[in-house]
Amino acid sequence: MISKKICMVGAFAVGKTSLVRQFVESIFDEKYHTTIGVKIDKRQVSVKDKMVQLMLWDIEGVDVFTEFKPSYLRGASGVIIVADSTRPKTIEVAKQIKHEVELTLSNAQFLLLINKSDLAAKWQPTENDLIHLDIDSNNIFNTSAKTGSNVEKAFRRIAELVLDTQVNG
Amino acid sequence: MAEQVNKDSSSSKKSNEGNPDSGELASNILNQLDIAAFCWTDQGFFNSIGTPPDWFIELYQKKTRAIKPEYHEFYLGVSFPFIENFLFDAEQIWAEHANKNLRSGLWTETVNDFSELYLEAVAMNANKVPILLLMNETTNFEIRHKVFQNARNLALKNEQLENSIQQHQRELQKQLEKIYNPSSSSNELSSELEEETTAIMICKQDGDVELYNKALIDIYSLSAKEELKRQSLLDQWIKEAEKQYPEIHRVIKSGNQWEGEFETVDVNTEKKWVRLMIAPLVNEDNQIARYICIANDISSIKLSVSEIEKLTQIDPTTHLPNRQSFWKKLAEEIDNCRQSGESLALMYLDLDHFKQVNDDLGPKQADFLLNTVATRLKRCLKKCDYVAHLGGDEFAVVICNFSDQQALANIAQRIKDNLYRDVSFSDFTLNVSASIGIAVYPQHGIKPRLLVKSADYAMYHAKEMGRNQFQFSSPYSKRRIKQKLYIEQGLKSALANNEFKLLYQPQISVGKSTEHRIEALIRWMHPTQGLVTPADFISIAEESGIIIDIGKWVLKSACEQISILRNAGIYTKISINVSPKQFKYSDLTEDVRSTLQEFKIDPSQLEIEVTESIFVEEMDDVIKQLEALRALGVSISLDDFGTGYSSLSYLKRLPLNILKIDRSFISELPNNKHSQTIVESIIRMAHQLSIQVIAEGVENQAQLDYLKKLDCDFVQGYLFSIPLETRELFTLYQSLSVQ
Repeated sequence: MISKKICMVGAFAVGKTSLVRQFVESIFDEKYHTTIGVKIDKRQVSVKDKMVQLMLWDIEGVDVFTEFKPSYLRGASGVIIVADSTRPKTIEVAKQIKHEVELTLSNAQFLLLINKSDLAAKWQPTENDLIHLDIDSNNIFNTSAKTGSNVEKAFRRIAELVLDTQVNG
Repeated sequence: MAEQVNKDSSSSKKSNEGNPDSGELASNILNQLDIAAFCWTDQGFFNSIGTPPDWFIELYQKKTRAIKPEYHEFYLGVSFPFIENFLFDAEQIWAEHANKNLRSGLWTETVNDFSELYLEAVAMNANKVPILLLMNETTNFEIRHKVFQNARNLALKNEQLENSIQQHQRELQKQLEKIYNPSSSSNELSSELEEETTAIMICKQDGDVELYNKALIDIYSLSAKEELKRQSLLDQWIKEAEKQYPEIHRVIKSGNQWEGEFETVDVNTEKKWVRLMIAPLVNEDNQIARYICIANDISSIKLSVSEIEKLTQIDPTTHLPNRQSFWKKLAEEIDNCRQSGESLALMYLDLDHFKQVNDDLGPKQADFLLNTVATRLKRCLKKCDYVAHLGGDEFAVVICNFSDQQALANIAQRIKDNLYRDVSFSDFTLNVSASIGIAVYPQHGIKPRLLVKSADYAMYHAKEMGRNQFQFSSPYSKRRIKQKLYIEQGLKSALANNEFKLLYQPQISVGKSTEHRIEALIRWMHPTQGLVTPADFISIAEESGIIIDIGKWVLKSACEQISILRNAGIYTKISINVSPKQFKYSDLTEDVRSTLQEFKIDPSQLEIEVTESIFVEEMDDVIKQLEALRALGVSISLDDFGTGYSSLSYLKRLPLNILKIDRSFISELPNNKHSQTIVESIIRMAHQLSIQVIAEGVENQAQLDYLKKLDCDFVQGYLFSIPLETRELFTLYQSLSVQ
């Protein structure tokens, strides 16, 4: 079976852990429980008749206490950048992280998840954001870890992308 | 190598019989510290040092599904993806045999549904033996987690609070704008607003407080409400904010809304941080009547966690460095330049007509526009250049590496060209432009505040010059803007102090008409500066909206003059100049009707003189107003014809009686062929449309003779008379009656 490393990155409290839990265990907890360090989960998905095991690296959110550690990205085929639709600042962090990831990984596939779509959005990606992030609009999802909206679809999409890279590569 | 360690351990055991076994001792210590220690072997597995702690055995069994792990040999890389990743960096440390260690950072391993382990790996060399320690941090984790959880909860709350304060202040301002009536003497805050936790104050332009709520008293620790009435906070706020926002004075005076955060002091001299919004409140004549001030004490946000403050260096709307960051950066760069002897340039950008965009489209779309501008700015500058969003529609650029002024002009031009493009919204597009002021260190200021002020003046000058352009700081621009602010200030009291007067210039018939006509021309006798010509104050009066009151005064004074002349037996028509603003923002027809009635004047004795600029916008509406004026019986003349938007197609749509040919054509008569052709064509065309013609600026006999030949109806100019005082006007008419 093919195994692929996928890193979840983004600002603190955007819902990275909740997205993974929703995808892996179909569980959502309303309470914000901050991640420290890294937690690795896995789930198998079937993509184009192939079973792919996604190794999901849930990496502690970036803030003034925690620097982004590029070494965690080693060997990753895909990177899921998560932002919070209710906090305009989180897209700025997403842009900074994308820049840093690109310095470490040359061939990774990217997905942008704008999470918490169950709440009223307070921002939308601007021309500036899309230019900086350089992520195809097909790879941007409005997700809700709470309701599960688009979560399965998004993780399946990253699985397809990393599989395609392998096939094409 | 690992084998060697075990051998040593075993021999040591034999030779130290009776003494505590050092290997066992080490194992016991490691166990007590919850550390699993291993020697790395180049065969890809790890030999444990002593017996690993139980937690590790349990975890390893779960990971490898082994019933019981092989003695001492553990395949950590295969079983633990996190360790596998760490080994890449660890191997470097081991290969270097360096006396240093490398920590992996924490990671979480799930043991079962009810328990998790929080681990950290350390790679090190001990006597050149490569060692890997797995440290169980589960016991300490809770404390660490609690600290991080609290800090992040706080940061999250602060972030939400800042957003909601900003939002709430904007909503309150809109609400107050709707409910407050500047002309009423009995405004009161509703109990809801009185009890608002956000401070509200409404004051006059001089700071005299009219309304305020309890929260304002609380922020400033005032003991009694009376204190506030005596001492306005507006001046204090402006002085305090000016340290960070030198342009605050200009922004407020020019009638724009201002928002910012700064340090303030209460009556007990205790320092506090406030977020303040000052918004002008205009009266029905579109003049600033009051200021709405809305403030929140944000000290708790600012002072809560110093690290979190670092996050506040970014503007949430554009994600560019904010004003605080800008000041820091500018001070640093000026310091660097002082030491290196190099120059730096500051560009101050202000979007043109942004207030209108904000009012028309709402804050969300306005934010979108600001964001697009920020992107475009960054894209047309080098990475080493610094861009900040100072708030509202203002941006700043700091440029350190440039060769000369021409290079700066090129950069400014590039910014201008890049910004001046359509911005696409969901269902429409909008054109955006900016006015740019440029100041250079050290020529235009050696301190940050002076440099910013210079750039701000230059930016204001660029706006003056017609917007969508850049200007370098110069003594002229500073003088000009200071003068403008001085005039603007003076205009506010000029009417009340009776400083305006009208002069009258006759318009002489050179054709068949026997009508007596004069044009009323306004002059301002400034108490300290003497005579100020209309060229120096009309545009400022138009911009500030004072022109509407001035226009009403002119109408009244001219009608009074008609009445005085009529009573003296002189029947003459007076034409008065009317501003486009009067058409747009006042009920001109009603004003004219009531004034004619007040002075009991025959409407045919009054003429309304307009310029072509009134037709730039809403032409149909202007035509309706002109027709209504004509219906009253007053005549309409079009001034400065030929210099502006002269179009034959609109001329036939307008209800005009008189067309005035601009002096620039007359001055070149009779010798300039082009002027001859233009003047001849205008007169012929006007006559065909039954419109009479006045030639302005006639100064010599040759011009007069030529105009007579072309059947021009009236002439006006120094050849006949300069603008006259009332007394001189009487003398002139008396001499005419004698003749």
